[in-house]
Amino acid sequence: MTAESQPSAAVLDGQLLGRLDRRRPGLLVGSLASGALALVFIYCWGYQIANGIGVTGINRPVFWGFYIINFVFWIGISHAGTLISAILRVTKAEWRRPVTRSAEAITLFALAIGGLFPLIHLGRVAIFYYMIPYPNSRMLWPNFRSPLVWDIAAITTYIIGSALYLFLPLIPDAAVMRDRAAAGLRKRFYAVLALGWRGTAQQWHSLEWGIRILAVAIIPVAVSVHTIVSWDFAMTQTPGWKSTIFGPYFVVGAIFSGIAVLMIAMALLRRGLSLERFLTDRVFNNLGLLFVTMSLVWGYFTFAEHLTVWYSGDLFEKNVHHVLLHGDFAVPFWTMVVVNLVIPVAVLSFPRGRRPLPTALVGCGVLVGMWLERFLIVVPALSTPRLAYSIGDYMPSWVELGIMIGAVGVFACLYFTFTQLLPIVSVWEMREGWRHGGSGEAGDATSDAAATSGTAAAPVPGGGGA
Amino acid sequence: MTAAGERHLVEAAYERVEDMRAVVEAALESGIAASQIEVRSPAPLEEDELPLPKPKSRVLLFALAGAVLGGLTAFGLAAGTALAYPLPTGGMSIVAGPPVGVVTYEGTALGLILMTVLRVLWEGGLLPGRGIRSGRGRASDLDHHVANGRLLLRVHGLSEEQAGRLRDSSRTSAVEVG
Repeated sequence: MTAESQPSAAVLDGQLLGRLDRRRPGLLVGSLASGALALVFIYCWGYQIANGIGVTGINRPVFWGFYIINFVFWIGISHAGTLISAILRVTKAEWRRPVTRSAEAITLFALAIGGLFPLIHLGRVAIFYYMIPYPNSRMLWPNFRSPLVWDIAAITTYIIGSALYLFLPLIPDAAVMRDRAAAGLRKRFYAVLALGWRGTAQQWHSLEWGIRILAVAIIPVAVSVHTIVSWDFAMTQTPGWKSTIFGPYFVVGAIFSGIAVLMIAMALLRRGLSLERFLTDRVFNNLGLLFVTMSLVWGYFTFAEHLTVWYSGDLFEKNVHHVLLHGDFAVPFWTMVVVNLVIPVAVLSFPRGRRPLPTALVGCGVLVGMWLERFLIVVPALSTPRLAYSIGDYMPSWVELGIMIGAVGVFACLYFTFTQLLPIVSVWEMREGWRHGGSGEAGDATSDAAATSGTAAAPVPGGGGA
Repeated sequence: MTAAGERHLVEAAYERVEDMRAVVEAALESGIAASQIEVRSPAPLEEDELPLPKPKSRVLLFALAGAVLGGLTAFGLAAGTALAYPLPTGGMSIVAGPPVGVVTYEGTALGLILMTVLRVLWEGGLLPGRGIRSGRGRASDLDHHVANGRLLLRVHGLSEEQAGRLRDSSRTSAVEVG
């Protein structure tokens, strides 16, 4: 280790790994509260399984309700991690180091929840395996021409890829936890996760290759997942859905909502785990710039989508367009525009707005806005079909609301549990950044360490910019 | 500490890579082979930080092989399904390009990802039984130093004289010698 990095390692051990050794009442309360919400999810789903899909508000002509809205919403959130982390790794953005683990965990948990919603929407969940590509008992083969089957292929690939992309860089940290833990259940748990990792040169070399390849491979997979989700809509003839830009529009929206969750999670972690030294203002500033960029790109796509519909003069398309902008759905539509575009641009354009609290608040607004966007894609189009006599409306039942709110609880519970068990900031990547003096946080850490040890702090080459 | 027969194992933990480098250089000069030397670190080391041969990896090769395998499997599944259970297509081709393309694309990615991870685990001796057979990856009493950000040097298969010399040269710079 270099002379400068040695005290940094001590700082790291004390401030990052020490978090895991201590009991955190706040995290425990969070886990219990989110666990209670998760029970709501389980109860409501159980109630629906017992009583049938008729307990929902889904009915002719709105056959896709909250479940599909939430499916698209959660799959979108899952783009927070793997995609953002992979892009930052591929571009060698040094400030990624404290962010990637948190982002990758968000992806995995959001994806697991998002993947449940189509099963919930099936009603008869026990026969979900009809979607899996193998000939069923009636010798019927799946129809690969359906985008719904593409969904299965894409989401399966993405969830396996995301889980492995989270797991691979976690192995060295699990080994650190194993070697620090006292004998007992925790030590055995970390030993299983660490797979016998010892930090040899061969292990590091192979791991670096693996992470590099996965980072490159996962980006097109992430893009394909939300593109294919958008094709569930765009491949139909339904007015309001048939659009050539739905693929990129969905991907942009997914990254946008993903960053929103990441901002909220990081602000909570920073405060709850006192990680100010790792999740610095600089990290929030950089992510805030990405956030406002995505807001503008989202605004551009929204404008392009609605302009072409309006300009086309197509009667059926204009009917949907009218209810969105001026009719029954005008309030959610304009709320969406305000929280997704106006507020983020107004707040995040200024350095003071790119601090943890403002970015987290803007993130909360964007989450609401992006959920509304999914709602406004699904419901107005289905409730305003081509034939006037089949016009209808949709009102979610308490079961759907319970499952939606409970899903947030499941996500939070998984995330809190993960945070309590494993380092939410990648320890070895932080050490690597400090060793090479490239992390934006290295300057802080070495300065602090130097102040305590009486040695000169090393300069930080390049400042660790993106 | 003592390996089978007359062979010995020396371990030493260091704060700084420069300290370890001097010991490794001395060991190599005294005739100890690079293959007998194992370095454990809390983060990846740069190639030129120690005078040891660079590890080799075939992860990329296996990743590409996995991609080809996954792509062919997915193509076979999608195209084979269309042929095994042909749907009325109104005169269009039974095996349609876009759906088969999408499934093949995802299969290619899945094959690449799975093979990459398997190869990383294989090369690192992290698959069950692999580490024990290769003699690497064994737990050491000094592993806690690596967990705490230090470096660990392990030299295997030393004669008693070599082990004694190495311990002596390590004592001046190492945090702990075992």
